[in-house]
Amino acid sequence: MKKVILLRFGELYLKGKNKGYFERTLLRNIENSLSTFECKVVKISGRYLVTDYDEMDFNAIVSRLTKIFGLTSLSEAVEMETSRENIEGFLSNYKTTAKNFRMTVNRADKTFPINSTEYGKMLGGVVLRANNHLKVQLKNAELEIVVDIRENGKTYILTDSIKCAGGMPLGTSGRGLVLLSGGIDSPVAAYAMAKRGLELVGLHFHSFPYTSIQAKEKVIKLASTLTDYTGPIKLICCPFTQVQEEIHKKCAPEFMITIMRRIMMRIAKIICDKFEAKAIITGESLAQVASQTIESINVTNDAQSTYPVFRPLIGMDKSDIIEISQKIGTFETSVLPYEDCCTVFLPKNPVIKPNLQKAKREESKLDIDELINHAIENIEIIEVKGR
Amino acid sequence: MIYLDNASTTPLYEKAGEVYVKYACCDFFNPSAIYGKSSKLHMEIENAKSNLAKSLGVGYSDNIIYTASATEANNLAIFGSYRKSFGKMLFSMGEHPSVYNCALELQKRGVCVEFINLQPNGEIDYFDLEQKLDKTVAFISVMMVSNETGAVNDLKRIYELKQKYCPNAIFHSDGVQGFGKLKINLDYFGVDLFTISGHKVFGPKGIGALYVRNKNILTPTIFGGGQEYNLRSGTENVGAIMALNQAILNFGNIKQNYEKVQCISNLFKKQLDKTIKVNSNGSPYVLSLSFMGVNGETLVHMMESKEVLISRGSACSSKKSGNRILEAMGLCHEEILGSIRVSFSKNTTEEEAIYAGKILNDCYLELKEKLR
Repeated sequence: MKKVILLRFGELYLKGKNKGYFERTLLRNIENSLSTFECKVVKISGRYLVTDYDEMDFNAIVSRLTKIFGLTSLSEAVEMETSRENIEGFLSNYKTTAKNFRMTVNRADKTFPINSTEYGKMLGGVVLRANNHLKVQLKNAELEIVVDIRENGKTYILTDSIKCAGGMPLGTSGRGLVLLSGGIDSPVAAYAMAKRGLELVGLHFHSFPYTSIQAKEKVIKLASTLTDYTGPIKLICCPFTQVQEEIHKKCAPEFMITIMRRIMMRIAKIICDKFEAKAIITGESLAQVASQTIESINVTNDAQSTYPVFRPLIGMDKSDIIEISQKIGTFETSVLPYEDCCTVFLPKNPVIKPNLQKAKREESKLDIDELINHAIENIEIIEVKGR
Repeated sequence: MIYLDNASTTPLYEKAGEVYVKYACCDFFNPSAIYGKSSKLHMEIENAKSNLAKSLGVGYSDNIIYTASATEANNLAIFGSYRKSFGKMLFSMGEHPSVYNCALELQKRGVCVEFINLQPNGEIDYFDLEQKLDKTVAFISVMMVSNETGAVNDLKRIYELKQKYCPNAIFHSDGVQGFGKLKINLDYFGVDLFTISGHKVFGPKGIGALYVRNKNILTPTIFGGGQEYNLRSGTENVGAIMALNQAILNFGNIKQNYEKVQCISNLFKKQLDKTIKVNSNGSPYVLSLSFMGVNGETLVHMMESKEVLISRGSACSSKKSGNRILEAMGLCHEEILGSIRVSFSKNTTEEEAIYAGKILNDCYLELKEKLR
């Protein structure tokens, strides 16, 4: 008899020919996530198991596991060879302070001689005899004891289950490029798309000397926090000073932001090509600021059409976004007061509903290819490892 | 690289480093132990304290308490003096965060705390102080030299005002930016508590000290083995104490250094455009400047890429937006946004000052042109 952690995964992708691929990817993700612990991860039918771990590491391991996309819940369980003697022996010594309980038996192993309803009643009796004060209550019981008789010849007895992150195993949807500014929204957008199985590459624009080294370090820290969920992230830091200075010098000030974003999209497209990402992710939320109106988004979208732009926060309120950022641990870093490249050269009256023709006309005053090439030539690639 | 951020920290004086290693590796004993090697250390610490007292212009009579930082010394001075019977506590608006935030904390706990306004030159407003002084005042804390502007407060004048209205009040001064740079005589100043730091004077980080005229006014804020007259428990950081002592022995002639730095600061200012505003005219070691129409932070980064390190306001508060002290001096938003701090040391050379001044001026003109 030993303690194990039983992991359950979503049913969504279980049907179809890709099942093996999803399950293997998820297993690898679990193994990578727990690589710093001494423990074993195995797959049994319909479940994963973490075994042979140090009891002292239990909380840390659970904390990692709850951040793995694709897992829906986990439980600490006692594992034993399937036999009536073992199961009943264990439960006859089971002590609890709960006032009422229910007993649930799952019999995945159909060779087990008694059906689950019958065996549930019998085991309930065993537990009652061990705990005089206890009463059976089928609905809303304070305690549920689950006896899971699996096909591998083992039985797992457990009581609580802890909710995990859900979603799809990381990497099973391909790779996406997330634009990370350093604010509250973009890390949440990154989290939301990673949850749908996208592996992430980050892209950050910085404007030294107008922005500080700390602003860049802040983004590295955000990426590092995200790695709890996403695994290692390649962060591409792209110099943007020259672009901004040129726009400031040559274009109408109210188009500063619009043209900046169009150039960012073009650079993002090239980075996607280079790093084999198939989608661009941004943290835009409709009407949050001037550059996030339908018209602005439209004009931004026009800059490149090779890759889809995912905006998972588009319909969310700021307060909801903040709630998620607090949950995933990026909020505290996001609110550090360093200037990001979007606040430099901020015009007094940015155009709220930009017109595409006008934007293009303003843009034509720039040598865009030259500016983009210069930026791309000077990118810095930072490998952000897990924490 | 030209380092002009000496008010933030200084490199460890080489000989002090050697001393540090000696006491960390060879003479590593706990001074509280009873064997000979330990008592020897005890004597050496006493010697170091005596030297420190001398550098503060006072005799040594168990009146120096070593702490792990000036921040800790300020905390000990304030929270260690505070009594429930206290009436009003006065703090200047220009204090370093390690004093200012103690004041805010006391205020939060319901203590009557008032702040003394600043004059446009960064010194406290002595008339405002006089207005706020009455017999209920139990504690006054005014720094010697402002870390933001270099403004020098007239401690003697504050003492005399205090004697007139509330002779029993405790007078504390944060002396971190004055120590080793300006002539100090604590008896003349009349302060009861005086804070110094190691790493601003070519000593190590992790060591500070509090001078206390009369230990009876203090109660400990850290409890333990009873070191430092039971006022600051914790095994003595012998290496840092002895390294600081070595740095103090290396001060040289304070007056000559002061005059040299005065020249350096003037040379630096000479390189600057007439439109650049000098925010105070106190200690030559610290220079606060305001550049109109640009962001001071951008200038700091531009200077960095030209291998000149300066600071935007004080390093301890640059992560917070705005600048409480420049605001209290009455500077407008644009002047605060465009402010930077340059701080010299006795080791800064004339060439460095001229070169850095020129570079700063060039950066400013270049930036102004780009933002036009």
